[in-house]
Amino acid sequence: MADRPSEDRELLRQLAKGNEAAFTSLYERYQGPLYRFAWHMSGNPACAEEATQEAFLRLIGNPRKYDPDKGSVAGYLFGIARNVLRRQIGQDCAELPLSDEPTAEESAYLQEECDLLDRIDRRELLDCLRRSVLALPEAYREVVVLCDLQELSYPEAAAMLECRPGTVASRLHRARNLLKARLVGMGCVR
Amino acid sequence: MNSFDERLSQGLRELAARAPQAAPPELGNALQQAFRRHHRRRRWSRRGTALAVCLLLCLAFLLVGKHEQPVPVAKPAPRENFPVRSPGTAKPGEKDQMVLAAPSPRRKNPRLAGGKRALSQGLDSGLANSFVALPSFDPSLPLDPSQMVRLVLPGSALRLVGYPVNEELAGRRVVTDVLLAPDGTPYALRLVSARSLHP
Repeated sequence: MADRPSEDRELLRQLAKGNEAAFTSLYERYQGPLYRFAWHMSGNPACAEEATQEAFLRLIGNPRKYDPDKGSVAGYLFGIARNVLRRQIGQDCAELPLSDEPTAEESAYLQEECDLLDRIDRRELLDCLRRSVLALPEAYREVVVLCDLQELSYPEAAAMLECRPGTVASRLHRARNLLKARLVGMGCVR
Repeated sequence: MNSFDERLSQGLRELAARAPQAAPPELGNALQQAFRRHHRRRRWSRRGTALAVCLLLCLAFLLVGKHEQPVPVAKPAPRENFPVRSPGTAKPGEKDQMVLAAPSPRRKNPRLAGGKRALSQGLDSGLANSFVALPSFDPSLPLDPSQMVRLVLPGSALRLVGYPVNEELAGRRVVTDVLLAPDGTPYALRLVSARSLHP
């Protein structure tokens, strides 16, 4: 996802004036990343669609609410989508996340440092991975989705999440460990 | 990075590749329509506001104009059918003259005295054609001859509007032309004829 803040701001200014081409440009630029983010976060196409729609509708309804001093347009859109997803996940869109801490059994598996994934087939791995990502606590799931699934850099992800890049890095490390532990805990390893 | 991490990263990349890459096209169409609707509403709302402001301004101008009467810088010119002459200069027996001036109620007004003279002259001759200003007369306001009414009044009623009436006239029924201000205030009157109240 290219970072073009000044261009985005100009597009947003034009959008506020009613320029439909500017809206189309912004939509084409961000609908994909936003939808994918929401899809990975919720695991539900309907929720992803709703979050994407809500983010753009707010941009249409009140473009002047965006404050350039607070971050990029992309960050603003992702912020709206995150809030919508948080509300949805609180209801019924996503599976319940598992607890933050790995169990003793999971930790024992991790300490063995064996190549667990060698023992599961590819299809099962992807299914387990998907469920494990969805089961991560929100803060960890966000960094996995942005950095691992959407391949954003730490600073880019930090801008989306309104935190420091160091926080993103530490959360990602922790999230990967949790993922490994979840894969074991979910019985994906034979 | 050990092989577990590598396999995990590879698995995550594969998961990302299998995910939908874009929002459904219907969503884009719906948002585009929402954008058009929103801005169409905004345009109409702006036009409506501008129109309302214009209407309010027009209304305000009309109201202000209605309350502010034009103030003439000089005494309005006498009309052709109402020649003005000072009551003091009215010649005895002269007909078809209008005597119109604002009397001061505090002091004896020569114009009213002139009016009285005109009355007596007019009644003496059976017809008084000179208008006599009443205390309510405001010389700064224009007079419209179309705002004249002919009334039959008891002579004593003329006293109520400030017309000097002698005892002889007070007991008679008087045909009177009254000039009215735009707000209905009688400004001047002239006696047309008088007859006994008790025939």
